[in-house]
Amino acid sequence: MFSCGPRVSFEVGSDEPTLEGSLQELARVLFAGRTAEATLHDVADLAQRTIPGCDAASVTIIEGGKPRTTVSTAEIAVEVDRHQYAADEGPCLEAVRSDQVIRVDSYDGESRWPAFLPAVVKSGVKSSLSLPLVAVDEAVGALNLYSSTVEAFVDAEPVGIVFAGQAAITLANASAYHKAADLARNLALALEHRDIIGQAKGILMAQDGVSSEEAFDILRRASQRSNRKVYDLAEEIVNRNGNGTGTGPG
Amino acid sequence: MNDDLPASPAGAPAGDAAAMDGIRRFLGMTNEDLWLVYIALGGVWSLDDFTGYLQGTGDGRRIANRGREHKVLAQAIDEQFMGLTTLP
Repeated sequence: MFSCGPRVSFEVGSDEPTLEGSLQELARVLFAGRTAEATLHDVADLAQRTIPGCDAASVTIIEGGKPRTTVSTAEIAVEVDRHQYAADEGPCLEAVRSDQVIRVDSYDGESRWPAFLPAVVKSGVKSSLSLPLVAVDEAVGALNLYSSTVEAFVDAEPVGIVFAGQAAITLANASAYHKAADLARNLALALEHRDIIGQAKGILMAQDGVSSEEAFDILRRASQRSNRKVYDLAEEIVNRNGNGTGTGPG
Repeated sequence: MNDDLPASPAGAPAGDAAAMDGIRRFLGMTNEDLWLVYIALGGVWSLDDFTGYLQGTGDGRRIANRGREHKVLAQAIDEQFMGLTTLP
């Protein structure tokens, strides 16, 4: 009752105004400069509104090896996702792990994921489509579409792949942004440390009559002797100097 | 201290960029990670020059004070090693 196949590329025809309008809206979402979470929510919301029969959508991302539902359009999606995480199996997790689109046309006839099935049947979800979000050749999450009717996603895979691609781009951009932001923060901290070390070197140069390089060597040797970081020693020198209580690095 | 760790990272042969890079990888650091510590210690190379030096592909003639930079880089590695081996 389910199908499983490789991701495929396709081109969307221009004779479906609803889909075309959604894709145009997706393009705007991409450049709207909003947070990744807001963008992912828009992607999930558009997917739900565009794909006939889709009643709920969610995006799962893998963080530290653990799945987490980062956005959803309805509580039922969160609930079904949660059951999958608890059972450590289900179409969403299989989509991530196998890097394949997982379509379930009817949970009533499904036999896979025995630990997860009772909960999803009880939830009222009848069919689903789980699409891996691939960034740098690795599935980092999944776009999950749920329906209260059977066989809701028989013809929806190509369209779903477009939305999944959009979500993957959003995640990749967010990852690149956070990496750059972390680097900027760390660089600011590094420069602040360099300023303190520079002040300490200046103090040593003035008081001991040594060059900049010799001052750094004094700090470096003191660091190695005492197993303390140069920054900590430098801060101590600067603070001592400010208090007029000596300058040596120890 | 973990017996598997090198006893003194900065004790690597002076100017031995390959040893420096080996220690960097041993510490699980990216070039950017190490470069940030190096910058904090007063190093002046750009990230590209820094990476080139570590990979042995940089043009050493462009580095005005290579001996000093080696000391700063060695200290940067020591600082990371210190953080790895010093109890909180």
